[in-house]
Amino acid sequence: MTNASNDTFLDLLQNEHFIKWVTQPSPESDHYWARWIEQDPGRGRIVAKAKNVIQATSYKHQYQMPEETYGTLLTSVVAHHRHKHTNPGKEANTKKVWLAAAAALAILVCATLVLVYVLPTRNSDIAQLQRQHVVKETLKGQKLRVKLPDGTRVILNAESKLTYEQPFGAKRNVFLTGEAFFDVTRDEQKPFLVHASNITTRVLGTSFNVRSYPEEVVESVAVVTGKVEVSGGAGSAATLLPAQQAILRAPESAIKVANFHYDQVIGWKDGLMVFNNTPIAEVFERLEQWYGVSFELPNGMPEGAYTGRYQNASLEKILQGVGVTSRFAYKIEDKRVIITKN
Amino acid sequence: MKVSSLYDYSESSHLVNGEKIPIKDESVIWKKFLHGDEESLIYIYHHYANHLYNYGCQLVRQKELVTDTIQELFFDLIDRRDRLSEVKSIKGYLFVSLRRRLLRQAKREERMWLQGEHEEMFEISLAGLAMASTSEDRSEDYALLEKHLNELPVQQKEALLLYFYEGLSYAEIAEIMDIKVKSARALTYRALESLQKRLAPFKDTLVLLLLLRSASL
Repeated sequence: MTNASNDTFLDLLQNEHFIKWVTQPSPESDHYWARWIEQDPGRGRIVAKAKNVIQATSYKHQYQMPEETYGTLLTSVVAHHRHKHTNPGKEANTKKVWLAAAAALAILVCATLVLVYVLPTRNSDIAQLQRQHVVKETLKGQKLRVKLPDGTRVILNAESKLTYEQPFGAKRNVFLTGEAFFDVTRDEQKPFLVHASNITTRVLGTSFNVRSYPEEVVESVAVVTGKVEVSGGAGSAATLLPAQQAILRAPESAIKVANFHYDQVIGWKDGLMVFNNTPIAEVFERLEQWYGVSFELPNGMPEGAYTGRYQNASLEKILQGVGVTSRFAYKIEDKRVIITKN
Repeated sequence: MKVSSLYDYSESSHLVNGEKIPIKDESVIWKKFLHGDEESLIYIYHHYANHLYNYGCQLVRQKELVTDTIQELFFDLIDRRDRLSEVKSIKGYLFVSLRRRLLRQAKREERMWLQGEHEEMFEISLAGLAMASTSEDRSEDYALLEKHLNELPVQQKEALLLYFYEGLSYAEIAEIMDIKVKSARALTYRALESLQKRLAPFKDTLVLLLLLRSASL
């Protein structure tokens, strides 16, 4: 390399327009620098190298707020904002009170975070901001395939909600209510975190299933490939390997690790419905969710449990099967299923 | 290290730590925030809270102090929003505010809050370059280079990081570090220059030539 090009290199590193272009490019600066490079065949290489040096420079010690602190802080900032919004001009002496309130709110960090992400928009012209927090939601009887900004594929089960930031920050945080199967794109630098109501799943790249419906007591995380770290609200944690699942029965209890039956837990994503000595009430609940119907029981819930396996079957076919062994008749009327015990 | 093409920024975006953040217009977000818009506040928090935290932790050792100060900073922003004016860069504004508050707090507390002569203050990493090289001897070169970078005065290191890593302008750096724009420019220049000198006894070639060669595509 000649001295002249070395001078250019040093000049570039000292040129703040150049730095701005490397760190925060815009169509205008792209255009400008593209033209500048074109003027001399040697410039392209030097520019590329200068970019390398700029982009390689970073803090040796990178600090990141612990997840919990991040959430607590956001909660208290939003609480402060809302207080100020409703009581303008009284802020001076209320700071302490609101610090205390914020601390109390911190218990609800996870829930609040989700709330904050999906807060109804008050103003239609902030659509551009909404793009920052993407919400995917399914109703009864629906499933949804979602591709996240990092290429991770998610299959969202019925009556579920997935919230995430676009693009992802330093961590890939997603918030889930309901059930979803994740096939996470590997990125060692950016952990992928699924925040369900009481259980948090942390992975670098792997596939697993998370189930966390608000109406169900049990939350679970089941691993198909790779290694998965889970932690519960009570501070308990576990590392799961393929074919293992974590079960959390209550927010206060510790996470339990057990094996699971693949089809029974993950099968839903491939249209597979498996019942294994499942109580009839639960069979109906799952059918309601799966097919988007509601069951009516004019003369009560049939007793017993049911074992069976259906792949991409119609509601009618399943009801026939279950009805025979559990002795009931059914009638399907649009979105209603009427069950009469025999 | 990812080497991106020169022309891969088809959409208007904002590169922070290699992450693209669409910024249609930050001044719009700031204005909305000043008018009491909650979404804009949350946007600002999501995009800058962790940057502020990382920067603050370079300055002081007590992480709780950094967290508390960030909270105080956001509370004050909300309280004084009617009186705040437009800003050119939200990031620059927040960094200025955080640094002032931390230094003020450090003075008030008589304990050794500041990283001070602590070697960890604004330590620089060139890991990105090392990752780009393939052979073993190269990584020694980088280690040496990094070592010398980190022997620079703290002020120069801070300026260099704000300049290269945070992507801030000389004017913003000057405001953050409470110095003249001319001095901010000089600090970064001196950092690059003294680096050349320091490595002269070790290498025949200029250090930057070494950088150039090793970082070749």
